[in-house]
Amino acid sequence: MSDAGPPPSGLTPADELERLLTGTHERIKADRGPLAWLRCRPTSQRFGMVLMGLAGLMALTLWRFQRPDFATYPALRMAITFSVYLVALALSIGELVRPLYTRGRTELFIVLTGALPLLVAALPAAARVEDAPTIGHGHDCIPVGMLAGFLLMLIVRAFDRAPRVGTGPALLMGNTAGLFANLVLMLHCPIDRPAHLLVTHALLGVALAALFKVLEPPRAARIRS
Amino acid sequence: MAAYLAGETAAFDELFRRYALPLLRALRRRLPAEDANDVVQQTFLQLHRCRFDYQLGAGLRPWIYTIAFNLQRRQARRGHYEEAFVEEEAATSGGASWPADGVAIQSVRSALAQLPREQRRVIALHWFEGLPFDQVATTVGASLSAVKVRAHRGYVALRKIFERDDRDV
Repeated sequence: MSDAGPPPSGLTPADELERLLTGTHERIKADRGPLAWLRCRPTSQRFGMVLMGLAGLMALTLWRFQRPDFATYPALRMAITFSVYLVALALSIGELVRPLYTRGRTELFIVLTGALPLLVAALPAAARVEDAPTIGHGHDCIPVGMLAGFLLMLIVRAFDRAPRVGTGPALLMGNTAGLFANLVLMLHCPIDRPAHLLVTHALLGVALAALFKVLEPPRAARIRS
Repeated sequence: MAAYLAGETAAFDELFRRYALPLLRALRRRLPAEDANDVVQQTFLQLHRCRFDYQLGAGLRPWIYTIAFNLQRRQARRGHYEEAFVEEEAATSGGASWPADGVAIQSVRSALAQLPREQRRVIALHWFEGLPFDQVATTVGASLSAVKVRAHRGYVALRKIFERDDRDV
């Protein structure tokens, strides 16, 4: 709903414009606090700060929840998979925090971020790491992945100037969060079985998209933000 | 915009008065009045939030139009309204270059309606709004060369439509 309310009949266009201007001033005045400050930063800074937040979460994972075979895991394979994930994640986050004076490519990024974890889940069948010490691991992939994805959603939302709503944006946010969850799980979970990767890693994006849709604020709150 | 970035709050009012009314008129052709008012206010709130992204010397109008377009599209999806292009509507709701003759206006509108959507948008912005191609490219989110190709094809198609109509008359 407009802050200036519905136009009363009999107003001249100039009067109506002044009412709208007053309403806009009220919105700008209400747009204060740390979140408002973050959202007013230039896009390159917002993008950089989101990436720094995610890097912090990954560092925390490596420090506290590192996979047991991390030291012996093929470094090249890790580097390639990690780089592909990181590039896709950066592109997708760029889309999520893009300013509204640019055009979006939401559909393209939904496909990219949705397909990548599935592809990676299928790859280990060809390059399986044998003898990984998996006993006692893998049971916490879903909660760890969901938590990582949820934290990404919070970080991105904090820097987003205009929350996007609807199925498409929810899918993009869910897939991006799922991608990050997969990245974190790659540092945490030693299991390379395709079935495990598919069910408990790759499909996290779907669960996170559903979670994002459920948590979507009601219409009145969205319009205010 | 430079004055606003320098901290002159009165400059924001000047920007609002300059750009809000044509935007409001355009939006009201496609959205209920209340939603149109809301999109105008959101557009300028977003302009305020994006102000540090603005590069001095860049065209401001494409910025405002693109923000309004993106917001209007969201509003249209929420309210199940027709997704129209703000740019086209702005152009057809009083652009200075429009022919004054009502019959001519109808004729041009009818011809424009026959063009593919992307060509229509480019022509609306270039011809009626008088934006240079680089600003049109910024507004529609395409490369400069793609916009020029669309404009060329659109103008050629328009000429053919007008020639055909003249023959029919």
